[in-house]
Amino acid sequence: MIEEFMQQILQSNDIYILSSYVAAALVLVIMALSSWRSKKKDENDLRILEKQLNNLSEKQN
Amino acid sequence: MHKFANPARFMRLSKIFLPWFMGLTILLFASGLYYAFFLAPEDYQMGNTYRIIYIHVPAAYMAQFGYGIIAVASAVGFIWKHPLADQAARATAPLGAGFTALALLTGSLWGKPMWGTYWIWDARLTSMLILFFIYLGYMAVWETIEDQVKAAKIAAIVALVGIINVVIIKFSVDWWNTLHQPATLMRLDGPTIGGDMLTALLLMIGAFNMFFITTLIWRIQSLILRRRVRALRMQLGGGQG
Repeated sequence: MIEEFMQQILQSNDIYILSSYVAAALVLVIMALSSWRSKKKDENDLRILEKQLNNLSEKQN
Repeated sequence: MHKFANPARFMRLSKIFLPWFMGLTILLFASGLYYAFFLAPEDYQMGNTYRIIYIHVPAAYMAQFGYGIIAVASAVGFIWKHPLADQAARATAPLGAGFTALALLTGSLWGKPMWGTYWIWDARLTSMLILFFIYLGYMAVWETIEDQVKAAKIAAIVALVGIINVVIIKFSVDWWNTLHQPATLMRLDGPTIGGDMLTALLLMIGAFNMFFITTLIWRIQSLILRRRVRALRMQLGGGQG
């Protein structure tokens, strides 16, 4: 059944529709993940630096 | 306007609005895809292949919209030296480049069954490809120039000069004889499609817009945090040294 379905897709123009939607899903996921991860990384860096700064000021006091 | 464009206020407000934008993105994508595949009828000439329109048109629209944001933000940053404007322009570029790449890719996948070729050096296609290269050039300026103030100035000039290309993209189908079809939505005499086809397209454009806003907020937040990280590193370096 799957084979028949794949044959049908490959023979018709459905392959172009399928490829477009797969490409769109990939591009959108990459954009969302890279944006979110970049934000998370910067949040983490800031947290570490703030902690270091607090420790330093405690030491100085 | 300046009051709301303060980085600290932006961080506070964006935390409140972000979940709403994410929810709207999911809702619009779900309803848009449902309309696109189950309610919108088959086209009498193109059959089901026309359904690529629901990805291609929103992507092309966002590619140009993104560039518009970069140009406006660059002008604000260049003239009023607003720190958030430069960051907003910089954060928009990778998203705009992504949407341009997607518009080019889906366009060529639509071109093959309709025109018999993946690519043709037609005015609309070529001007979109140029837009993609302008985005890459704009990002390269930010990445290669270390002095951020100088990078912002040069990037703003690149962005403002590049706006000419967006005008060319818009009118390319009117000015030249092209294989690409004329505008479907943005017409003085109204859209050339209607009913469920139009609803599906508008829902997908809405979904892409919400997705763009959500990811743009993450990217601006990231750039603001990075500036703070840089400032703290300098403070720590000074304190330790």
